[in-house]
Amino acid sequence: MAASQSAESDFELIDRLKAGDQSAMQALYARHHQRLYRFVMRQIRDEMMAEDIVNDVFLDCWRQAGKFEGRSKVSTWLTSISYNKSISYLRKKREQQMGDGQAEAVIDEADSPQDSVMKDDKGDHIRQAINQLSRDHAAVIDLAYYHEMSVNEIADILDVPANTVKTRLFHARKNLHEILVEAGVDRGWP
Amino acid sequence: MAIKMTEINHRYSEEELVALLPFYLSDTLSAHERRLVDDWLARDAAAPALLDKIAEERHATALANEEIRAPRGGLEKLMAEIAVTPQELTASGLGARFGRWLDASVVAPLRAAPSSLAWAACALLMAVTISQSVMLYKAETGGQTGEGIVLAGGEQAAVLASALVQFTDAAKMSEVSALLDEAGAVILAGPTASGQFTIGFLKEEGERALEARQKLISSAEALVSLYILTDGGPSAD
Repeated sequence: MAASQSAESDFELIDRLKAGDQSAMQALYARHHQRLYRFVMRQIRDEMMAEDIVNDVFLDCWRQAGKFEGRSKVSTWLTSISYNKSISYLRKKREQQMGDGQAEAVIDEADSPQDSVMKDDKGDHIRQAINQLSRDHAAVIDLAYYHEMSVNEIADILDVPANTVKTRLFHARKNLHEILVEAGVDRGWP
Repeated sequence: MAIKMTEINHRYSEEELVALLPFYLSDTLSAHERRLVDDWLARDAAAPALLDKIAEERHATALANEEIRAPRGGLEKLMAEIAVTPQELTASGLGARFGRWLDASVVAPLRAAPSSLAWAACALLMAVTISQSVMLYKAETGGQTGEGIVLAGGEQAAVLASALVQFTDAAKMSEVSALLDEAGAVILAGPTASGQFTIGFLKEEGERALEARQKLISSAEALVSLYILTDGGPSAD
């Protein structure tokens, strides 16, 4: 790939998509695919579906590039589409399970420990505790810590007020603290 | 400007300042909030330890994410789907497409045709201006076209009639643009190697006025040196 192409901004790539240039999608995909896949995967915890959802996100990006007005970063826009598709999938799955009389299966797997074996390393304890957060809490933690988004960007993605983002992050951290205390790691609060 | 401690205490509780720490680390706070956190970290001996805890959580979150690896092969599947998936056309999308067509079909021939140099400079600007009319028209009709003429860029515009025109060397971009606007016409294609454009009279402007609209252009001798009706409508000779 030419250096000049790799240096193109996301906005420039979207402009190329608007002009029907399919090759711009390859650059956008290379730049955002891994990050979006991780975000979706941590929401829905289903590898096959996560791949399908992310594929759909980029297809939407292609279809609707013309509607993108540049009011947010492209990464925020793509993450927002990813979040909405993940939530939509989880909702349908829940309804389907309810319809099938599998209400018990609806219990959020994320709320139960994924890994019962705790290692001595504190960082590993924290990582495992993060994997046990509820989806709402995991979303806000991921967006703030891993995706390095601002309060307002997270508010846009989750479609909640900015203050709710701060409150939700506060509760996510508190929940993380409680999980760690249960695992015998007390770092103090806050 | 320095911020007074009383102002900080009044506006932000410690809990609120703690809530800002993740965003402080990712450098996404406003300058004002960043200063508030800087001041708090400097005056509260326990605050830096909180920042260290947030940094630990941040690092652990990165590890939790990085242990997830996306499968390979997704791009090929995506590109195959994109190849058969139409885009939702909007005004800006059409503008971009029209611009690309313009570059290939108008700008390049003009550059390669010295005989058209008198028009080369203004044709691009004019056509860009005119392209706004085409794309807005397209957007307003939701992409639906009746008896349309296919543009060189692959788009369609519903027109009542089309004509081949050549503008005089003295014609200015603003004058031609105004003339086409007044006549409810747009450039559909061109210029040819000899500098001629195909224009179309937009259907939305109303059928009754077509003859007058054609006359408007054909009689503008100062701007139009050639006018030949090529499709539809009464002759305007």
